[in-house]
Amino acid sequence: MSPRRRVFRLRPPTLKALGIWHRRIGLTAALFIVFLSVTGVLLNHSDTLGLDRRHAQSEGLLDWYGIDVPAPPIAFAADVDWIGQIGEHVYFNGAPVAGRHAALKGAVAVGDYRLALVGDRLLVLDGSGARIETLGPEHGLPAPAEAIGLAEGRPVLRTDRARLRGDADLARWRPTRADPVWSAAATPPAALRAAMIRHYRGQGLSWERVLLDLHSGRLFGRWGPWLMDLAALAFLVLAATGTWIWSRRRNDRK
Amino acid sequence: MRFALPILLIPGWLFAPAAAAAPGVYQPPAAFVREAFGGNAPAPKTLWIDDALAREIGAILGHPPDGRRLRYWRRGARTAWVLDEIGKERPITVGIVVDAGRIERVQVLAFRESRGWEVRHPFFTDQFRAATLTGKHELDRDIDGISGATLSVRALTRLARLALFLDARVNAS
Repeated sequence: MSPRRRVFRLRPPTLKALGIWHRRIGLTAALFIVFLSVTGVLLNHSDTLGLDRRHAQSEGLLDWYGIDVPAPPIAFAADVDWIGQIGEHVYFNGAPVAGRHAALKGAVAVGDYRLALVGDRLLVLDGSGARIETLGPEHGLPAPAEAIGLAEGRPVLRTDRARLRGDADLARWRPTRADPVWSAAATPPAALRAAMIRHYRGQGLSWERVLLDLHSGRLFGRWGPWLMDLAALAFLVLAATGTWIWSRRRNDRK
Repeated sequence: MRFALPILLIPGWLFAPAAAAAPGVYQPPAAFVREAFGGNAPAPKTLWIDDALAREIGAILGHPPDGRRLRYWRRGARTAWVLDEIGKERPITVGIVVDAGRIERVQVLAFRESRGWEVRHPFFTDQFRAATLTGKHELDRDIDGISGATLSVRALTRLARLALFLDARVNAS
């Protein structure tokens, strides 16, 4: 008597078993569907919502992205005010001055004005840090200016050839023999330094970037995109099993 | 030896198109102003921007002006302006000469955006030549755009309108 041979046959899953797996995968995938739908809709209207212009300020999120200042902030005292710089951003008492600026070389207070030498341009601010104007060589500013100082209440610029003192309108600069007090970098109060660093870091990460990384899964590290791929696979399985179950039930009813 | 000069010129010829396409400073503003007045620029004049003027400038630019004082150059009915406007993220510096209420020249002096630098070319800037301002502070003509440079085109158009408006303002005062 020969032993009975057991034959394994691949049988199609029963409708009940398919239904159970469809439900299990569906419940797991529901979380991803909600997540991807919300982030997708927000990204579709990113421009209208201004997400590319708004920046994340969360310290934890900025740390997660590894956003840091390129170099320690530099700062110059102008009377009681502080004008500082990180990268291309200039700060007045810790608040950003609009625009991007070349290297800050010094700052002085002249009456109600605060003058900051940035590259070959002179940034003229009022006492609250609002920009009045930016002067360059085309306005008669000596170039290339290396340093700015103060002599007898007037600004003095030092070029590689001369010292030149500006008039009240900052329109004419004439050679001077005065011995100015040159603006020198100093350490700003800790609170202002922290405010500058906080703003700079915050400018580095738009909400649009965060949403894109959430949507693609990249925010969750190297396995994030694979997780999203898995979710996409689950959606495909749901579509297939759902169609299968529907067609089987439809046929059974007939 | 007679082939030496053409050979020496080859690298410059090869790289010229790339250099022309790159963002950067195309002409220092001081040189533009000198050119605008035949090599002898007048001293700059000052225009203070009070609240009322700021509102009118804001209506043209679509945002408040960046400062409270503007410098410009004027000789007779001719004025020159060096103005900045952001295309998408970074300022475009543009020199504009207005003569007798009509634009004589628009020149992109510095372009810092990563896209849209085509607006620097004469085929685009020449469209502004002889343009005037309508009563609604619009240009008296349509300016053809450049695909891929829409924001830069808009920025230059706004600055052309602003220069004409400011020219009328300083000539009226």
